[in-house]
Parts: sequence; structure tokens; C-alpha cells
Amino acid sequence: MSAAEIVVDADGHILEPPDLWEKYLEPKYQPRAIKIVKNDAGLECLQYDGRLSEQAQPGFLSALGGMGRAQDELRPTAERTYVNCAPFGSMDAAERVKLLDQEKLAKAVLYPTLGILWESEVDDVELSQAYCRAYNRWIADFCRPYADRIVPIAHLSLGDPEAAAAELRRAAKDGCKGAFVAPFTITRKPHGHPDHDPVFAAAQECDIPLAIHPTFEPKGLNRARFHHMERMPLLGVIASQILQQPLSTFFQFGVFDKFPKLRVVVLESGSSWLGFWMDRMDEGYETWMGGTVPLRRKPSEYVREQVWVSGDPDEQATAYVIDYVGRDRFFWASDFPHPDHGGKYLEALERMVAPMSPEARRGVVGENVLRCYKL
Amino acid sequence: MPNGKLIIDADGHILEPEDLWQNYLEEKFRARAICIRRDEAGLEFLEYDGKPAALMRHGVLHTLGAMGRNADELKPSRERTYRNTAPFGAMDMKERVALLDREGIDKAILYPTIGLLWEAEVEDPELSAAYCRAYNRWIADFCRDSDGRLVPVAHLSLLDVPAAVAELERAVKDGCRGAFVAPFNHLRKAHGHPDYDPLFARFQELDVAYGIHPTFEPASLASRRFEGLGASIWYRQVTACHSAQVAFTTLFSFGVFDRFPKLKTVVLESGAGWIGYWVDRMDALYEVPINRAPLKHEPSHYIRSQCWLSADPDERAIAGLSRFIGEDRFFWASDFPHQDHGGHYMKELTELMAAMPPSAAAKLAGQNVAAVYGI
Repeated sequence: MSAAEIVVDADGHILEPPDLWEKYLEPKYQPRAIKIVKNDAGLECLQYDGRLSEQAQPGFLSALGGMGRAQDELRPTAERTYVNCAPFGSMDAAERVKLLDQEKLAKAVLYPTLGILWESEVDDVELSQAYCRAYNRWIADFCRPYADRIVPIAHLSLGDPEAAAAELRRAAKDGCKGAFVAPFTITRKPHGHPDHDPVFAAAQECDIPLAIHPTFEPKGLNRARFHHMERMPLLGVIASQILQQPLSTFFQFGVFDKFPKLRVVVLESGSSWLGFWMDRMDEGYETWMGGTVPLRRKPSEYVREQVWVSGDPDEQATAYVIDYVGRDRFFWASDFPHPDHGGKYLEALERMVAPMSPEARRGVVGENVLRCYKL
Repeated sequence: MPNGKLIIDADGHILEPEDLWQNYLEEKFRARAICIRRDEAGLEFLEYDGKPAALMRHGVLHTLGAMGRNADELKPSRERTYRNTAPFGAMDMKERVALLDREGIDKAILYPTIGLLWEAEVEDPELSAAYCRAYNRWIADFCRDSDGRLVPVAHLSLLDVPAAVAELERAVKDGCRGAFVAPFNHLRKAHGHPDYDPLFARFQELDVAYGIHPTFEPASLASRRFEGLGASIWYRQVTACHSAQVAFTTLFSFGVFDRFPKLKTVVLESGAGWIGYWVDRMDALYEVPINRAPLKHEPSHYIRSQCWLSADPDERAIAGLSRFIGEDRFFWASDFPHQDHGGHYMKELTELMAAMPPSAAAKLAGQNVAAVYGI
């Protein structure tokens, strides 16, 4: 990147302190805090509400900060822990700012790590709200001393829309610049469902974007087609489907006409498919099926005004659709320090934006996320 | 034909005669033929193996040829029937050729209509294979005297591999230029599974294309992400492309393209603009040590040499993407006479071609599909 360019990571992660929930939950919920415990083999396990997580395998926690490490180094052992494997900048705010300095990044928008694991296994709506509030108080405190560099985003759970709306207002007042929800809901109600209108109203009123970020998911949501899909290599590519589903429900339920100032952001699921999705949504809208979509205009018009997407920096195709979709729609993100993306994100970003015009490039590397989040 | 170029519809449909299976099934299966019946209210419904089809309401078979019609014309009706509403060219060979002439289309590759519906509800491997054979004999006969203008493609069931291998061989001898499978099977065995190797071997040997075409599907395979979207037909339409994407991806998960380096794979009626993201993300996942795929090369290598996608002509993102993926990868298709696409495909194709360099436009319009199918 040239020195003149403002480079912003639209979706970096922090590794929360293991005692975050014990400290930040309201006293009533503290005995039910998310905790890290060791099993008989000495491997770390996650515990939610007094139960061991089934989805986070024993020893898996030490790999959460494993970006760029070889497979050998990600294997669970009793010696490797969540904390002692955390790389520089993943747990400490001052360190993270130093890392940004080293990498010449102006800002990073921050998302959780443990916080994107628990929601698939906690059915208790009240406790879910409490877990979110605890994280949100903590991330606001974490970023506060470096407010111009690291950007706190609140986690909301749609299981109780009124509570989520209240939490959004509280968190925004406390410094959060945006909010995110999982791609699934505890109630199985589609994201765009009118029951969630209070959340959309609050996001619009507080003037902050509402993002959808991938998380661990309840079993079988998208993997019923074939046996053993969980173990099939490369099937992670369906991340795009997992986000296209909730995103499409915003259109099916006419959310964008009801909330014309709502800003929706799609994270960590690729970006170059957005042109395809616009085409596909418009195509369906223009047939008789469009009669079930309560929107005044065709879906692509709302995408170009109210939807943003954050790309993986190793996406080469985005440069070839950006002029069609719109230069102001795309961000990039590091995913640091998670192991499911490679560690050379700045080199990758250079390649991603190389074929783009100077204006498109400036938008993707930083200006678009600054505008969308009003930073 | 626009600009004097070769124009080939890569995926048009015919409406099969109601008595196809009664006439073309082997004697032994004739009593179990697919047929159209009327209920007490006089509404048409499909019957498979002596049982009424469950996935389609009574009285809506007339909607199968309803491209371009409005929602009012798609309501259940006693008066409107499968046959009396079939548009010009949907059921008769000479009419279809006349339609191609009128539209400036040189050739059309033909896929079934009723043939896309029954597989979701028929679990008997023997009967499934017999239903496929009957259709394949019929479509070969239907196209035989069209002077090469109508191109038959066989339907194969994956439930009995030796039967599918034998039928592919028979059908190709009988004039079929390739075959397609549904994006699912009742065994839930992924398409790339080595059990299907004898079938891939025969495709390769016969030098004909292996297609994946969407069909009706058992409800148990649908995404369980949301509840209450049953009436949200637009949502189901836009996300319908997800089925073939998953089936296609398993070919990479299992390393099919290394075992069959001459296999030609075509993804039909699922859009094409997603392939840029797919290439980028599969290549990135291939580099991540966890979940390594058993492939000698990056997935993009196989996509650029052994895979083709049939685009909807209103996919405007394709114009830019073809510069990234390559001009050789895309077909276009009309989907005539199905109602899930609008009726303006020639206008859309002309617009899409105008947005591309002449060489890419010519390839999309017909040269690519002509090369892959040897027509």
C-alpha cells in the first residue's frame, strides 16, 4: 500500500480474556459464565452455562490464534493453551495498536473469537442476551484508550428482539460503532422477519451498521445434503451460501423500504459473489415470484445503497465485478489471528486491488469502511 | 442471430408427453409409469409408481410451461392443463425448431420437465433407472429428425451405478450428447464419491459431458436455517442455486478431476457469476493445512480446464468475470418454457454480449457449448 492510502481492516478479531464473562456478566449470571476448563487429558475445553461445548473440540482453543501456522503447530496438546498460543496483538489493546503501526493500518474493526462460538449451543434466550451484554461492555472498555485505532462492535442475539434493540442502543452509547448478528437465529425466524424490526429501527436510529458475521452453527443447518459433509475438504466454500440466506431474507421481507437508512454489512464470506447475487435477486424479482417481495424497487438498487460486503484479501475476482456492483460497496478484512485464513493478508490485499482503478482501490482498502461506519 | 454468431441454448426444456412413460417404459415397469391424473375436483396431478406426487399442489401442472406469465395465470385451475397451456415449441419438435428459427438460435440442448420432478419422490433404484431409460429413449427419438438442431441429453439416476454406466453407454449410442444428474440422491452419497468412479470413467471414455441440473428435492435436504419460509417463493428461487454448488464442490473434495483428467463437467441452471468467488475461496482453502483436499493442483486449475457453467442471460456480472475466469468457461441458457425465468432471454443475451469483448461474446453465445458437446 502506498503511504498516502488509508488502510482499514474491516474485520479483525481479538481473543477475549478467558475470564471475560466471569468479570463482565451481571452477578446473577456469573455462575453460568463462559469458561475455559481442562479435561482429564489436560486439554482445554469451552464451557457454556455449566456444560462442555460439543462443537469446540478439546484442545481446539489453542488453534484459535493460529493464523499462518503449520498443521503440526495447530494440533492439540496439553502444553498448548488458548492464552500461551495467542500471537502478539491478539489479546492486548496496546499490542494490537503496535501491530497496526507495524502493518501501517489506520484502524481495525474488531470482532470476537469465543463470542462467535457459543451462540450455536446456547438455547437460553435470556442467557444469550447476558453473554452479549458482557462481551459488549468488555470490547468497549478494551478499545476505549485507543478509540481512534481499534473499533468496538457489539454482538447482538436476535432471540429476543426487544432486548437486542435495547442492547444496541446501550452499546452504541458506550462507544460501539456497529453491531453484528450470527447468520442463524435461535428462534429460526429469518433475519428479515418483522419480529426483528425493533433491532433494525434501533440500528437506523443510532446510525450504525448491522452486520452478519459467520459463527459456529447448530448442526445440520446447511449440511444435510450428503453424509459426512462436515469432514469434506473445501466445503468451507459454502460460506457464501450461509450469508446469502440471511441477506436474502432482508429482501423477502421488505426490510429496506421499512428502514431506508439501515446499513447492512456482510462479513467473512467472500465478496465477489455480490454481483451474482444482485443479478439473481433481480431476476427472481422480475418474474411472478417478485410479487412475494414487498419492495418498491428491484433488489440491486437497495444493494447499491444499503449493503456492503467485506472481502477476503485473497479474492482476485472482486476486481472484475467492482465496477458493475459499485466501488463503494467493498471492504477487505484480515481475519487476524484466525487459522482459517492465511497470514499474508497485506500481500494478498496488494494483489486483490492491483487491477482496480485508483478510486476503487482507495475505497476497498479503507475509505468505504470509514464511510459506512462513520469513523 | 445477433451479429451473425453461432447461438446455442445450453439448457432449454421440453414438456414431455403425458404418456411418455407408458409408451417408453419396459413392459415390466409399465404399470408403475409416471402419469397425469385428475382428482375429484378435476385438478391435474402427477403420479409416480401409483402414488400421487406430494411436492406439487393439484391443478398447477399447467404452470410448468408458463414462462413470462403473471401470478394470476399460475393459480390452480381445472381449465388450464399441462397440455392446453403448453406454449408453442414446448412439446413438438417441428414447432421447437421453428421457434429457434424465429429467435435466431442455431441449436438447443434439451432437458426434461416432468423428468426434473419425480426423482425427489422415487427412492426405488430399479424404478428410477427405468424412468431414466424411458425418458432417454424418448428424447433421442424426439430430437432424431431435427437435423441436429435439437440436442438430446440423457438423465441418469445415481442410485445404481452399474445401471447408470450401462445406460450412459446405451443413450450415447442412441444419439444423446451427454447426460445429467440431479444435485442430490437418496443415498446422500456425495457426487465426488469414489463409488461413482465407473460412471466418471465412462463419461471420460465416451467423451461426453457430465452435467448437474437442479431438480425438485426431498424436503429433508433443504437448509434448516430458517422456519416459516414455505410461502417465500422468491427466497427459495434465489437460493436454489446452492444445491448444485454443493454437489459440484464434492467433485473437488474427492479429487475426481485428477482421477479423470479428461472429464468435462457442466453446472446448469444455477447461475455462473459465483464461480469467481468459488475459485478464489477453494484455492485459499486448498492452501490452509487443515482439511487438505486430495488434489495435485489448485482447484482453479481444474475449473479452468474441466468445468463449464451455464449462465442465465441476465447475469450482468459475467461480463467482467469472464476476464478473470476465462472466456471459455461460460454458456448461456434460456430455460424456456419454465416460469422461474422471465421470457426476454434473447434481449438479455444481446445486452450481455454487447458488454463483452467480441471473442468472449461469441464463445458465450455458442462456441463454448458447441466445443464441449461436440455439436
